[in-house]
Amino acid sequence: MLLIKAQRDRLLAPLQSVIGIVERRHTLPILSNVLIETAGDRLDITATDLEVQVRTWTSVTESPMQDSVTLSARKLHDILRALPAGSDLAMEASENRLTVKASRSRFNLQTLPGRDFPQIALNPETGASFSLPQGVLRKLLERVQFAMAVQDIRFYLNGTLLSVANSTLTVVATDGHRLSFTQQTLPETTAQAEVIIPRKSVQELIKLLQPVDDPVQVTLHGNQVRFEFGSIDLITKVIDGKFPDYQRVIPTGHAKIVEVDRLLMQQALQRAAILSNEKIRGVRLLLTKDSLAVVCTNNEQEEAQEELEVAYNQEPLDIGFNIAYLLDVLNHLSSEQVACHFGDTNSSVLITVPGQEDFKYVVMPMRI
Amino acid sequence: MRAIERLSPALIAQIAAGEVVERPASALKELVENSLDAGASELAVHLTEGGIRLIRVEDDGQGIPQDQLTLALTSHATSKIRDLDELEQVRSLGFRGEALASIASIADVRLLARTATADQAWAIRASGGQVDPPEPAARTRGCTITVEELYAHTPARRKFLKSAATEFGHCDEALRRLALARPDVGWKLHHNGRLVRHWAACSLPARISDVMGEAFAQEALPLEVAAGGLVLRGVVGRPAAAKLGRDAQYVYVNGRFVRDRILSHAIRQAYQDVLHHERQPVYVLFLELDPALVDVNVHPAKTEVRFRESGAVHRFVFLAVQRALAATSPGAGGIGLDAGAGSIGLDADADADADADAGAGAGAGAAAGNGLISGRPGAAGSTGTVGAARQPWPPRQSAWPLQQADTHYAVLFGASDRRPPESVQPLATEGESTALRAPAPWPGAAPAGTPVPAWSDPFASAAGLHDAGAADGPAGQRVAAVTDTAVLPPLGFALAQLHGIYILAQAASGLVIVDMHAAHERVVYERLKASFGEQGLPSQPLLIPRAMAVTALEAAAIEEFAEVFPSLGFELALMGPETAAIRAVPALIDEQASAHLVRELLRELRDFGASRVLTERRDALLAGFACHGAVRANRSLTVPEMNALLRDMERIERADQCNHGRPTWRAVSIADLDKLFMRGE
Ligand SMILES: Nc1ncnc2c1ncn2[C@@H]1O[C@H](COP(=O)(O)OP(=O)(O)O)[C@@H](O)[C@H]1O
Ligand SMILES: [Mg+2]
Repeated sequence: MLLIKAQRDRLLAPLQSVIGIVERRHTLPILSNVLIETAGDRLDITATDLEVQVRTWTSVTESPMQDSVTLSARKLHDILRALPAGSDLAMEASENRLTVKASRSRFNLQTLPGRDFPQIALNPETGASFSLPQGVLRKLLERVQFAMAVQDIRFYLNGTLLSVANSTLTVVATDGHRLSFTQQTLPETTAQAEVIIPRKSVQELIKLLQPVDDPVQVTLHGNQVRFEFGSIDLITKVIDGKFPDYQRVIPTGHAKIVEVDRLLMQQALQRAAILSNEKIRGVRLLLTKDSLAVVCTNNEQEEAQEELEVAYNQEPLDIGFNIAYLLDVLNHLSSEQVACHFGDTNSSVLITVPGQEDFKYVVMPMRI
Repeated sequence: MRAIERLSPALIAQIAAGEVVERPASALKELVENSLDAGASELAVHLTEGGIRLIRVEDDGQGIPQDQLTLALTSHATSKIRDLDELEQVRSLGFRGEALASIASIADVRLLARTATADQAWAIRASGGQVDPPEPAARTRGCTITVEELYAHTPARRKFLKSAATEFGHCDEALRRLALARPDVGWKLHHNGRLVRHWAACSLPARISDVMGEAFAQEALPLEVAAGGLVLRGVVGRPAAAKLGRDAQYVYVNGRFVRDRILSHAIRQAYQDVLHHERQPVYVLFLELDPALVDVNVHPAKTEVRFRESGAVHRFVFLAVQRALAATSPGAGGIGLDAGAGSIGLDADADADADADAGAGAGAGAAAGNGLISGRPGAAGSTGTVGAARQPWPPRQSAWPLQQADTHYAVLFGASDRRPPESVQPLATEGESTALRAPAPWPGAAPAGTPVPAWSDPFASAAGLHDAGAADGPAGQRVAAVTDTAVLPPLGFALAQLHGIYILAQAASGLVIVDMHAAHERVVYERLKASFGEQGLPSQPLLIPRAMAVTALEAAAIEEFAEVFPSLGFELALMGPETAAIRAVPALIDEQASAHLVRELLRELRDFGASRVLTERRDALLAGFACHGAVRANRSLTVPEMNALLRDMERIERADQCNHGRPTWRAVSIADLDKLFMRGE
């Protein structure tokens, strides 16, 4: 029985946008499948890991009946990718099998019924809702996502905070060692709300959001958040927990401020890192009059030193950091300059973009 | 309800006896301790049916005067201490004055003694608490105590005794413990009329060998360390000799056998990364310290002690044993199968620097004396190493870098056809005699071309092989280099790689087989450890402190050891009676695991006053890194690479076993090979 006729490329693109959330290993076999639903000349593809679900659609040449079936996401993806671009293919479904035919190739795959697929039921309760350009949301998430924790038992750190109030969207992530904060004014005011988006959903969003001005509609549904953009409909559960009070963590009034060229600093750190202890990754920053020196030493007592010219005429300072925490922020910014606000040797450091209030990065020093 | 009444003195004594005289072995221990306290130099013990029927201890000590015989059997009567000050300084094994009385209350006892000045011996009998007056008897100076029918008067107790064989086993073990501590005393043990043990007075190493077996003594590492009024001496078994049971662990405090958690914990930790976790280390260790710093009056059986400064003792013992084990690199312990030769250097080096390294080194020097050094070319003498036997051999040379090894290859093959190191192929591919390439002159050996002394014996049997291979090239020089065993480093030179797993090397004693991955893993691990050891633990303060629930005991420990944490890279603060905040963690440690780690840290600090949890954790991480960083099986190594690994193994500490306690190398001596081929039979 013919399920669909379509061009390979028409199927591959949507499959690629959902496959990111399909877990490779799963105790529940159906979760390594994608759901394929046909109606008219439209084909819907859905993948889920029970926490986040991505659904997308595409138009096909022909799909004679309304039907749904699930099959291995990865195998289908690999087959489509291996077929020549532009080839025409047909999918035929029988009891619990699906055959993919393309000129002289045929693949007979196992299927599970579409009705068994555990789709996330959208929570009917709706809360705050707002929209902003896709490219903007993507940039906001990119600027903080690297600071999220990884499998911390403080589960609320394994994600990114989205907080809306009046017409401001605040996005924050922290792993307890450093914190990244960014803000954006929204075109319209909305109800106040705070949600923590799980790590994986954040990363998936960054992959799927395009650097364009087309809007993404964000809607809160109780313990779920829905992101609709382009042909994508992404629903994610939120992390149930209280995000730390980030306002208290961001230092104010650090008086020792140096502005440095972001790329020069990044390159200096990357070079110095070659001789940093590979397990501890410590780096020392030495501030003296009009100079910022970057010093790394390793176990073999080898030493790298880089000097940057800066405008500085306050007390000298000698402070240590995990070099990865500094590189992280420099790698994820695009501004020409960054400003570092230092307190004393033991207090956290604030990194901002000069002339902009919308980004703040806080990192604790390391005692080397 | 019955009225309260005073117990009869006999019953009191019998109840008390249960504590001291649990079984025949405990009675035997008390009797022998009395003999040792009396200055005996020869001891004879007779047992019948595991001591249940009869225990007799004869000594040649100072004896007991006639008028004090009865007193000796009276409870709380002792000649050893007079007041509390003396108790604090006590050095004798007994001091409670209750052993004989207890034994007499539950058995039939005959005490026969004569002092040096008495013109005859006297004997008394006691049975069920009744003591008869002394009678004249005959014996030379000393004391004989006979204990018969232990628990005859307390049948309830007697039921708990095990079979005679089991009880004999316990008696035998009790005697071993005592005998190890007193090599200067001669011991005889008779069971059911047969002489079963005879240990003549001798040195400590000889006694350890007698009691623990020659095999153990040969594998054991001697140690003698003194610091801050503490002295630790004895031997520790090589990790590879570790047993599955715990029975070969002897620890003495001021000559008294003890079971002490602090000490055994410290020793166990010292073995930590060289021992398979299910194995038990084997050791005989004597700790000496000011008696005032240790309380021995904790339990009637006196096998428990309490240290006034347990943290310091723990640290000291840990370090001493760890350093002794660290010396188990191929250069330090003699070669392979003959590793034991001279390795118990306690007596021979009694005046040596009381430092673990020096001890081990000197032991190795002695080992080398009967092989390596004797065959060394005369040139070595001129380098100014006087008293070569004292010098650790090989000298812990600081480097034998790859290049250097290559230049020696050049000497071996002649400089004209010298190839760059990279082009040196594994031997087998070249179709040359594999024996040929192996040995290169040891640095400092006679320069090429000078006459070299005739080769020494160990390789005589291999001569044919070398000659056959010496056909091409500057033959005379080559043969000389090959055959001059004195210039071989301890692990020799690589011959070839076997199945991508083992390195075969020719050493002075014969064939050395190295497990490539295990050996390299160890080398990498020790290097990582050494470099981190120097640096201390950098600390990462947290932006958002991590809260942890704590018990009241943990909270107390957080306060008590507040000043310890920063040095470990931690910063802790109590937030309430049941919550603490971790404000900083050591940078190397995964912060996720920090709460768990803090908990272990607190427990160890509480129990032992010191903690190695962090260092252990760090070492475990480093071991993981090392495993990844080490060459895998099936990686083919060139000869220079193999030689470089051999030289590294000679240099690093604890090279003899991998991180999991498996040996990294083994040796097969020429003699063993000869046996295999029935040569010279
Ligand atoms: N073998 C012996 N030789 C000489 N004196 C002994 C011997 N055994 C016991 N004594 C004397 O008997 C006393 C009591 O012995 P014991 O009950 O074991 O108490 P303690 O050993 O604690 O003093 C000892 O103090 C000692 O003077
Ligand atoms: Mg006694």
